[in-house]
Amino acid sequence: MSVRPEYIRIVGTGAGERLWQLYGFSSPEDLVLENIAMAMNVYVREGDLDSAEARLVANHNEGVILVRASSGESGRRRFAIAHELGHWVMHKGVSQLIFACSEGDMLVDYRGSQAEAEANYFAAGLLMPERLAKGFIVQLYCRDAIAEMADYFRVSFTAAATRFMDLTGEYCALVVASGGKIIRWRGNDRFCERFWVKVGDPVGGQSIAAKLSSQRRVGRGDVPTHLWAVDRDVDGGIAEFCEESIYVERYDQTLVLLSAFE
Amino acid sequence: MIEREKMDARAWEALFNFVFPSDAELSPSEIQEALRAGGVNCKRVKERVLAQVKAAKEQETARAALEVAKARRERISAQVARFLGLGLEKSREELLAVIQAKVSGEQQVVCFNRLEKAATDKDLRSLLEDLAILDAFGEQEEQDERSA
Repeated sequence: MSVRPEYIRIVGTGAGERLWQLYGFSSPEDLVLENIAMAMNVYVREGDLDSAEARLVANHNEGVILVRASSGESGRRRFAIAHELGHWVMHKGVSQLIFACSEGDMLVDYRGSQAEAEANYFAAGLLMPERLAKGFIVQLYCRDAIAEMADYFRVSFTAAATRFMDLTGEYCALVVASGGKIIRWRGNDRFCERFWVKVGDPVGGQSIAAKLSSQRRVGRGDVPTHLWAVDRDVDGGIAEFCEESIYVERYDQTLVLLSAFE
Repeated sequence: MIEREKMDARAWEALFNFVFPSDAELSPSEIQEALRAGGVNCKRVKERVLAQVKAAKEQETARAALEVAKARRERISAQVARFLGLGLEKSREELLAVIQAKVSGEQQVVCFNRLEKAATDKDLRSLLEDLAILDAFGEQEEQDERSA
């Protein structure tokens, strides 16, 4: 039996947000993930991990979360811990001993693996509860709002952008490009109902992203929708996306935010 | 929703007497009558106040548990060092054999086999450490329970 997508999202984020209520947290500074995990019988540590961002090893009573020591920025590390904690909270009934989760797993939504999606929604709800995150939602050109959101909630830009997409009512997608090609993308429900981005396609030469480099790292502008996506709506109506692109030298990747409204 | 300005002092007093009946100077029916006259839905108000009290108590317990967890984490962290470097001398095959022996049950084995393909030797060593920490963690918990 298939589970309704909105059910996965509501249950996942709800379980994460519930901890704010339970502990009476009022700001992200209250959220010490290592202590919250310990209160749930899960010990968090850093160590060697090449093939995953983080890993949960658990029996029925206790768990150990290992985060890759070289995980880099603290926002990425926090999301990885919250994601594994999501597995512990939501998949405790499953007698699976080990969850080893890659960077790709941390981006999965309900269109991918259900277990990974649930863990991601849990992490999003725990790190960025809707009640506080909604204050950051703007209609178009959302990069600055997302950057502020990432800073406030102490999460990565990607995690903040993903939460932003889930909460905005407008067409919105985040595309990741590397080596001149689209390597992954994620859109909100509204975007995905209408547009489709092809992984593996080359980044269009007319796009803002194509003009970025280590010398010019950010750019924004209006671009034709066909540069990035296939429009399923034959009648059109949306001719352009607001494209905001950021080149991240550390990962040699370009993050592309696409937004539009009718 | 009841608006504060719409309730006079008598209604407030009646409301508290209703929610905390042990302090009541009036009989329950008198209290309910006074509240009804003030336009208050007694049943709903009582449910909401009691729910808030329950949530506040749960929060107090959860926060206390968080403090205990913080101290417990420090105790475990102090012990973790003795598990680091486990399996350094072992070959990949030996590491796999030790880990597999600890992994039991059909579902776990399936999961482990999937992991095994992607894991590097470093990953297997840290997995061995995690399994040892997990065992020690369980023993620590039993000790904590006994001393409590």
